[in-house]
Amino acid sequence: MDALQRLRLGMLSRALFALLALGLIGACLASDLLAPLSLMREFANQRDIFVAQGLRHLALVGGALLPALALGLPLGLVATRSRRWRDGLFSVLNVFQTLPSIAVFGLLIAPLAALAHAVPWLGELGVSGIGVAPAIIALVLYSLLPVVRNTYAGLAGVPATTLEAARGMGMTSRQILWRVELPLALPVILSGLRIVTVQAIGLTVVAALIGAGGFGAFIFQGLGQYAIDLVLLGAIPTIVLAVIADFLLQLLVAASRPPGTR
Amino acid sequence: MPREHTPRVIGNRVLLTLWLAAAIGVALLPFATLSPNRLVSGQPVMLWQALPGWQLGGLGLIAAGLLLAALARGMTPRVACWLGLALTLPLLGLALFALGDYAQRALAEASPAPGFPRAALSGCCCWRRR
Repeated sequence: MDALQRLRLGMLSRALFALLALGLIGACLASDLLAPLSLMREFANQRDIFVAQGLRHLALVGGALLPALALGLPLGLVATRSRRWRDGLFSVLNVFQTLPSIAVFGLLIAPLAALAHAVPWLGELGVSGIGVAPAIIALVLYSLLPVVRNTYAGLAGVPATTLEAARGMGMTSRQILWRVELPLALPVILSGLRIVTVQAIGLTVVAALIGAGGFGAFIFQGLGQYAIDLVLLGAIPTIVLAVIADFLLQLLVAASRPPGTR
Repeated sequence: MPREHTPRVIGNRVLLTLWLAAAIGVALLPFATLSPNRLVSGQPVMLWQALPGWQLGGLGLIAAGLLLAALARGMTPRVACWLGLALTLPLLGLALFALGDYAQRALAEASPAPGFPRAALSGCCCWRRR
């Protein structure tokens, strides 16, 4: 990764290198060369659970990123337009970021359990003190700051002369936002999405502590049984997932830059 | 007063740090661990005890190449980067092959104990029922 960045290779070369590395690992896995590994035996024993937990992990990450983007992008826009809102908003979001993840998961148990008790239809929807609901809420809270901050940084970084030129051409505020500000801010906003995605993939592991599932379930099960293979069965795919997501979003960030600045 | 230009001793500090970490890991940590099941730590086997000569030689050559790329002596930083990048895939391939090959040999050498002999590797560890 470091060498790829130092060499400033194009997107195609980077993708080709990643495909070669993945192909090599895939060929080793497909050839049964690694089949005697205890890790692979654990995988073979738990294949169905592994797939289910993998899908659950992705669903948790996706379920947290969508609301984080839906909330974070407008909040970033608000922060750009109003200094008063910006100061208050970043103070609140900074507080969320300083809380330890396990504490947030723990703090959400009581209020969500009470809410599910008080509003039965929420309980029927699956909202409860433990499980998916507190996991997604905590992940959204953690994801908000990078999304809002990068949206703000991207929009605030649009040169004033460019905005002046757009106004001079007779563009309305809405047109300036959609045709000038957002396209120019997009690489910075996507960089925030990249940070948030990798962070969410890692944090979802901790969510297994409150019964949300995902690859973290293997890690905590392995820690409980002192079975290192189970820990690795959860840790390795989480790392691979984070690296792949980071790489793909890096390509997306590069693609979103105006030609000539990539 | 113009700043005096001093030649850089280390070409790529990131690569050198990774190289040193890997070297310390190889020297101090076992490559494989043989044990009857997943609940016990097992008997450690170092890298040089586990791998045949040609695999060790191959890994040594790649390690030497990576050290050269990290120090970037006698080459431009760009060439050093290309060298490091070019050696990454052979290193990955040979390490995976060596891991699998050792597990296969450990399984083949296991005596037929009651039940199935279980040869296994966890990361850099290998288990075998004796």
